[in-house]
Amino acid sequence: MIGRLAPVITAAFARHAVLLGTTLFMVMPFVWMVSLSFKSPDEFFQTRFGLWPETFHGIENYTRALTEVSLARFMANGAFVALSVLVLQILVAAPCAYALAKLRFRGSEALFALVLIGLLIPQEVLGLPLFILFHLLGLLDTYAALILPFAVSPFAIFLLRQFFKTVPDDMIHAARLDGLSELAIVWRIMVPTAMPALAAFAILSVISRWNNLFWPSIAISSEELMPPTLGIVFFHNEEAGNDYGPLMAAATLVVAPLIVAFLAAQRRFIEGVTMTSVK
Amino acid sequence: MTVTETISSPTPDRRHANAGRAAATGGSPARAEAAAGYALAAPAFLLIVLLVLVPTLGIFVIAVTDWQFGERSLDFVGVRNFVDLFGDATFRAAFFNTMAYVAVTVPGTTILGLAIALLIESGRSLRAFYRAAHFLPVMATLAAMAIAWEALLHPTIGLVNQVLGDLGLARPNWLRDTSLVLPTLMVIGIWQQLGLAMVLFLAGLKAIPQDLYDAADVDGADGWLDRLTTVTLPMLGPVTMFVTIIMALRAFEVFDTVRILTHGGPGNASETLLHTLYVESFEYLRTGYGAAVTLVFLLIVIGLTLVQAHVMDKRVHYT
Amino acid sequence: MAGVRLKEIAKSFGATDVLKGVSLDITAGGFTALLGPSGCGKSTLLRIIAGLETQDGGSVVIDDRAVDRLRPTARDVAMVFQTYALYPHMTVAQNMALPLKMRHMTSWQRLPLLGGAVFGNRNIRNTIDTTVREAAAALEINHLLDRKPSELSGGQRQRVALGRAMVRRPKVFLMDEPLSNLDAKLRVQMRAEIKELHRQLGITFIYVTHDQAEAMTMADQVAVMMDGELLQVAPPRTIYAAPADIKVATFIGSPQINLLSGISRHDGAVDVPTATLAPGATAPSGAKITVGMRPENLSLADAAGPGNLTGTVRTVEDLGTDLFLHLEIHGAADLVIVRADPARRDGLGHGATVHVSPRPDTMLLFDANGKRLAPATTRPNGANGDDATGSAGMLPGAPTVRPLPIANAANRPRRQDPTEPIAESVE
Repeated sequence: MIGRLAPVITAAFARHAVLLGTTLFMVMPFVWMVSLSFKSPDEFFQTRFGLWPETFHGIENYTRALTEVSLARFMANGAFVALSVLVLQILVAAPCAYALAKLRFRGSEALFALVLIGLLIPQEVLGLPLFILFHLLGLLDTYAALILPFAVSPFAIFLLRQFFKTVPDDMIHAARLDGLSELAIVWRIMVPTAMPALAAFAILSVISRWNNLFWPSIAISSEELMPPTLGIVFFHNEEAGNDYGPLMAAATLVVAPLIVAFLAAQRRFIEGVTMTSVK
Repeated sequence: MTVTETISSPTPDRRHANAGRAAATGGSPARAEAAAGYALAAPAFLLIVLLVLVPTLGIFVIAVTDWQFGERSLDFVGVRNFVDLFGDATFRAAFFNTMAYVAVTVPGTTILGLAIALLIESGRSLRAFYRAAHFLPVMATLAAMAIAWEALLHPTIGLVNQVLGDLGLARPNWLRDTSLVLPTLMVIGIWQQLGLAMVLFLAGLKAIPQDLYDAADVDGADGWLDRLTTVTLPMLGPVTMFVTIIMALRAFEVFDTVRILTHGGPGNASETLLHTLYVESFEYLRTGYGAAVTLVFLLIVIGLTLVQAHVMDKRVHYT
Repeated sequence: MAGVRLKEIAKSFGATDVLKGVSLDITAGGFTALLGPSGCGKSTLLRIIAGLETQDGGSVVIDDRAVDRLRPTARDVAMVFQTYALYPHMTVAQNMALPLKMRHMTSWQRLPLLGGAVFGNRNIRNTIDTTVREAAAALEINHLLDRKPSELSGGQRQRVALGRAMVRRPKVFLMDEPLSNLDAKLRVQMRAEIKELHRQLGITFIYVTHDQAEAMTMADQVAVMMDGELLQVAPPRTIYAAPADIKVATFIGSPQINLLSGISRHDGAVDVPTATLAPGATAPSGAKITVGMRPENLSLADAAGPGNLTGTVRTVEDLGTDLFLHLEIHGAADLVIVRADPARRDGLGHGATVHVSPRPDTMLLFDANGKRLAPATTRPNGANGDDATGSAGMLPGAPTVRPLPIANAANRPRRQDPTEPIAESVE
């Protein structure tokens, strides 16, 4: 063992050297973004400057980000839409997942096949027809346009069905004997058993909504309905790349909620995001 | 990853559930159970039909018409949209750029993700830190991070060009140079997806039984390279296939960076499928043509997903 | 031939002392079983011998050479894992060939294609191929050589694992619960085969198990471990008939040994509930004593007597070959189990009062610390008063008076199914 100590130390050194290098690559855009968000316009255009601002211009930049465009409104929209979508998805998916997992009815196989087809179709493919549909319904450029297309998540149905199948039937029998209705069984017996999966799914769902640019660019044109992604692009186009400070402050604010939540609950987030691999 | 089961026939336990219903409902238990099933599944069923099935079928219909959004009339044009598509320089550019993008970013994310996962697992210290640092871009809002990248790559005041200038190297205009713009987007794409590949590989590494490494030790495959080739890489085979497909699916969906940083330009140098789909459908409102682009995209994605399902089935053989 | 000597091996994981200074001499060419309940440290000890784990203290000597600083391969040991640890992506032949390739070929020669073309590995490959085929033939798995492990049954995987360990002709063969993933019938069959394999190879076997039936039927030396300590090392017969410690006595044998607590008298007899026994061992007068009696060493008596226990039948278990009576003895904490002849079943229903006489030369006496007290005289059946290490005990293979009633009831020799190959025939 002792003779092998030197290579061990070299290996550990090499490991850290490489990983610190890649870490630098991964975090540089974040560091640069935050650094610029603290700087004054004068400082950007100096040819020589470091990461740390010479004069702290953060308060001014962040204030402008929040006042010049309605960034706070964008973020509130984003939160409202993400949570509404999540609630709807669970409300719609859980009963269906229970029916598919535990109840016998004609056509349940066909329904499950439909769910699998839904899993297969990416959201981007539905952009065009949903645009037309929401135009016909007169719902374009409303909150409904941001929320309704995601009301049903075939993935949530699929995932919950897998969990519900593992609940012993005797537990359901007992609940029925205790007088619970089928809907009560869904919410009081089945859903609690799937809490870990549901938590991971909730994270996945919220991240997808918060970060989505494609559909809002199609469905929304009014500034007051914009979610954060669309809002930051809007801001970007307005500024035309001249006033980086407030723009970077806005970008930082848009990225911050998910990053902070991620750092607080890393494992759950990784579970949630890797769950997409089923899709 | 965790959900590997696919469609299965009615299981015995479902029949048990059936039997038990008599007590709860009285009357015909089977009929009551079916009624409950329909009632509970109805909202999801209707929404999938309305929001997924009908729209998807709609694309097929629209794709064979010359409809322009807002026009009152339309004509059946057969496959003309598809013929036009492949005659259109923009679409061809989008198609080949997307293929090139996938061809570079998929191996890039997969190999780097694997290498970083192996490096992280090869030691004990700072594991959580490295994992979190490399995973950050996966979570971060890409629309905002694209703007951060733009600032980083700014031709004069961006950090990258400042460093290059200090080293006495050329300071290219990354996002405006025809030959550099796509590679630049590829690097950003790799930066963004790398962490996902990494955590999938980390999960795969954790699933390798320690016994196999012990056996390799006893059998004499005890150098790091021998362990890697005897145990680690073969055992990661299924995961690698899986990661590759996930990465490919995500790479085909590249949109945000193109939309924000280049609009497909300069020229068509960074045009991609999804961006063309967006521009044709929602800026030029060439609905029929857009539907044809959508179908091409759908075909690719479905093909990949079917390969993935096939691979998932195969995974069984390593247990 | 390589013996293995363990000197004061100590190991702890965090605050838990898994091994508390274990010393053990393993005879060259012998079959030694490390037997103990799960968590007793036996697997850790095996892994330390293999070099997969590094001990905190003590030394491992194989073939008179300290191997503490050697890598697992350099120790020249082979190991069969509980999960078999076959490489799932390799065929049976490739699995078995791997240790040979690693040893006899350079990394250049091991390269696929290039290795053969440039570095001339054909001769080595042929030799390896022959060795693998021979081992496969010996294990009767030559028809499986091109299959992957996932296409094999549990028993076949087990053989492949044995084969992979065999091909390199190691000095020491280590096995970690190799049969625990097999079904009961296959386990019995594999016991015989492993025993036979040991006879053919003639090398040192160290076999870790929690199953006393495996240890007792296969090993010629059993080391009983509990809580990181070695309690007794002796041939199976001695472990059973002359356990050094009350923990060994209760761990071995099924049904469990009966224990009655009592007080020794000045004349060497022991007062236990309902009887005064003359166990033949000596204890200081007035000492607290535990008397151990195996169920088969108790027999039904016609009448009460000073040396007979008296009790009430609580449960009757008729297994066909044996009749087990569970007796409640007035004043005793536990039920006493007696093995009787099923022919005598009449009149032995629940609540019946029966008298039981222990065979005096089979009673085991334990002091307050659980150590067995040496008997005063030598027993006629040979299962006599060895010292605690059992080194002076009876030789393996010496005639045994009775078969060992051990845990695997389906395999009790007296009810041997002629169609079923059974390990005891080797004994």
